[in-house]
Amino acid sequence: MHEVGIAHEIINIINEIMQEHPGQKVSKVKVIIGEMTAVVPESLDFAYQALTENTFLHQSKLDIEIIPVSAQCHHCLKNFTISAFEFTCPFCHSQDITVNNGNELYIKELEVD
Amino acid sequence: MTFVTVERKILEKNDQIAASNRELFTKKKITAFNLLSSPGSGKTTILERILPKINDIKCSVIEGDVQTDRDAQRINNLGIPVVQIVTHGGCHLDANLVKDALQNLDITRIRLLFIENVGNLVCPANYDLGEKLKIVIMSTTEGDDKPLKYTTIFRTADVCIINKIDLLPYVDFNPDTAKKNALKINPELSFFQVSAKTGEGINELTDWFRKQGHK
Repeated sequence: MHEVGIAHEIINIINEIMQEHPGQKVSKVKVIIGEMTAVVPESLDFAYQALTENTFLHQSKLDIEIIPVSAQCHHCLKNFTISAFEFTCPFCHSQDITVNNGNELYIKELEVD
Repeated sequence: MTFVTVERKILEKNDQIAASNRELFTKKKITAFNLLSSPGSGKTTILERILPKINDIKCSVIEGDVQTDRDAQRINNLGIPVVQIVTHGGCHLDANLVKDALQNLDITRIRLLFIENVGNLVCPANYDLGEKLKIVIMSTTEGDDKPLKYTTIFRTADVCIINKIDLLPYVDFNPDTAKKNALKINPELSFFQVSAKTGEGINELTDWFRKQGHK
């Protein structure tokens, strides 16, 4: 249920940005979410719609892109996607890896009319 | 139709406040722990066991709960400074709640600060509080596959405490399986096995906490 808090923060940031674009309407909000953040897209979308009802954002939609967890192995230097949250290199089975993607939680851009 | 580039972290405000909390802790030589677990794993009971043993070190506690100040009362009964944060339904603590709670503590008199998060293994993972170490607690009445289900918390934790080991003869929980699962997620995790009920393992854990204070 932390999706409500996250939707709140998204709206705060949009409000701040749209002050510099008076008279324009937001139609789409591009949000990037890494799988490691455990944010449920459907819940976030629901919270966003509920919180923007009767506001100037009521016609805007979230466009959520999910980023899989990916890492690089320090041992064999290969890059790979982590499935089922196994933090082990599938090539050489080393656990000496750096997770490069999957922790994202940011607003990329707004589509405005 | 035009595009406005944003490229801003959604939790940037929380991260900024967490960074200022962290700066304050460093300046005041406070070591802060973020204690995370599901409800009922024994976070408060572990604190009740440990705090009296390290009362020569100045400790304080911030209690996070959805409702009631029952946990804070338990810590208060030990004579330890404590502040209760009631989130009124909120499923996690955030950096700003901790910052506000600090107003009600004498921060010149804290060496170890225990922040007991709301019992939840999902939501608190995204919210940095400014702590130095994250401690995840699981108990033997839970499944030993818990680390595989709540990966983000286990991946970001520094220490894992397995509580209620006095119940091992009666439950299916296998500590070795639990550790193996946790190490799959986070190979750098270190473990303590305790029973807050009988006191088993509490001395080792207490010694470890004692060593975390600023020299």
